[in-house]
Amino acid sequence: MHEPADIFSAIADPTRRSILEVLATHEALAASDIYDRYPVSPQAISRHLRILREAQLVIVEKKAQQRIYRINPSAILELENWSAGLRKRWNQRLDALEKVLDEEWIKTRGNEGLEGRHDAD
Amino acid sequence: MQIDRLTELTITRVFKQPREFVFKAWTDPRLFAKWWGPGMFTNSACELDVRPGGEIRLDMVAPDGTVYPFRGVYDVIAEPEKLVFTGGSFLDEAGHPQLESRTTVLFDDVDGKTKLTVHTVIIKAVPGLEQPLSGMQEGWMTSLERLERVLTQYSNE
Repeated sequence: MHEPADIFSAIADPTRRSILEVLATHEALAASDIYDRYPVSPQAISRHLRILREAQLVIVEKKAQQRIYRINPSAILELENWSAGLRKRWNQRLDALEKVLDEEWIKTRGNEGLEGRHDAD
Repeated sequence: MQIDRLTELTITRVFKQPREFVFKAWTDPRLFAKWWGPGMFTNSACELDVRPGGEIRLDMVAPDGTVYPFRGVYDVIAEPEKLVFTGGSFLDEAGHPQLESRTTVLFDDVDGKTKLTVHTVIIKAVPGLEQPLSGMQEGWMTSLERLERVLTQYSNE
């Protein structure tokens, strides 16, 4: 069994990010067209494309002698959802922090609590 | 398309308290355990070794008793201005986190209040985490609802 590829590790690499951004602005690109855009060897780009493929961030289609690459919209949608969930969790975490800070502040300040701070303003 | 937008997050919020006080809520184990984690969860065994390279160990316990350990390492500590840590949860059998991120927290003094900036970058997230995460999401929601009740009470006073 092949270990499932991790989308975020795949994205962490700047070249792979760049390939994804290039693919996002094109309908589809042949592997050779992608190679031409980078100063590094085709082998290196081919390795990056394989990692993106394994993470299912891109879809490949074989046409005659060519491999045509497209971005996988469902993977990007999944990332969008993930990103929205992350923001929600952090906001809720900071809500909880705010509550703890208010409670602790009142405790350390006695009855003055937050009111005391308003007076100081 | 901006890939960064999907893997990094920046949130800012202003808290009424001075930054020394807010910083303490991130580094005092008793306080940290009170807010880090979903609302219906309790935290046990919170240990914070607050120095560069020091460990963060926190066990989050779900209402059904499932323990979700959170493990991290402090990278930068500049009290009371800045805190950087790399942390992970959903550990596999070997103790490797399935979800890992690096978080930078900035504490800016704004007229005695604190402007907090959280910048987090996802380093790793293996597939198949959606289900446990959405379970935790429900825990967070409950926490938010409780907070809203508390705030409503305050504003009615």
